[in-house]
Amino acid sequence: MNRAQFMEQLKKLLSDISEAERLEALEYYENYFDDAGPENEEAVIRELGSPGKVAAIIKADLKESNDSYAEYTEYGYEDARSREQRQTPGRLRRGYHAGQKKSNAGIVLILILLVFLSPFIKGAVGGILGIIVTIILLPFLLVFALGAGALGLIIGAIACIAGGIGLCFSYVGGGILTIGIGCLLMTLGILFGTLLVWVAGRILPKLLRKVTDFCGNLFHKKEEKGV
Amino acid sequence: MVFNTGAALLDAIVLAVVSKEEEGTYGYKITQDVRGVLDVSESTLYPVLRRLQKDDCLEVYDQAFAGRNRRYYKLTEKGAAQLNLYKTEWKNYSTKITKLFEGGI
Repeated sequence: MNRAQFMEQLKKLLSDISEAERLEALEYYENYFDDAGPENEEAVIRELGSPGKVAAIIKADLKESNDSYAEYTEYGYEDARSREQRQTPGRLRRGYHAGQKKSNAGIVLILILLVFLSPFIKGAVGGILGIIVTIILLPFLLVFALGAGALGLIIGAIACIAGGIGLCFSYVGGGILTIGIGCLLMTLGILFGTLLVWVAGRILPKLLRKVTDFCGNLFHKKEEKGV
Repeated sequence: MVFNTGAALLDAIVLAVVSKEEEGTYGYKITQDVRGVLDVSESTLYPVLRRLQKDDCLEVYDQAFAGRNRRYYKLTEKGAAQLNLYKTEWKNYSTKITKLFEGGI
């Protein structure tokens, strides 16, 4: 390619920019070849690169409309605008919003995960609940045992006293002993009975209240998780 | 070169090169002078000159030379002020980096 061909191609490639700009650029490069001299023509063409490259650089700069965002590197012409934009507050704010969205997405993800895992959670909670219920029921069992014990003792005592009275007719010593044992059992039975009344009347209501509160909280939480 | 030359630095270098000639200088010579200190493609300098001209940092005039018209570029007052600004900025910038490189901050 010689100078005339180079300039001809450049003229064609610059046909879509304003005439003033095109003439300006063409005149500059005509001047450039003149000043370089015919002996440097080849070197200049080689150094400028293709007419396409020269035209692209001219057009790129016109697009900037006087704003110097472009960067000239050893590899040629680079638009640094995108790089600079990343550092502007607007972009930063957008980045911040994106971060918020991400955290929302995280919560949504956790909720979805909870929904999928809810059967397992329910199972686990159920297991734990069973243990808790057993522990909670322990006082009731104790009360029941106490009641049964007291009842048994009193029945036993009555039986002993009745039997002792009956025995007194045939064998006075053994009868009195049996009545004595019956009285002792009666005492124990009454003791168990008072203990039962005390436990059932004072301890149980307190426990019951605590249990209902606890269950209420538990079910409330479960409802929340289920949402 | 390892370091990229930003548009501002290239503007500053071109302004400095043009300012060396009281009566102005022409495209080919500007290109050669710039390429003496900076490895840039010859095709990158026309848009810079054109932009500086549009920004009123450079003025152009044609003068007959060897039977043809040669376009000369000359620094305007605005161009000189801009060059001074660039020089101050460069001094701040390069001093800090030199200090850092050479030990003390």
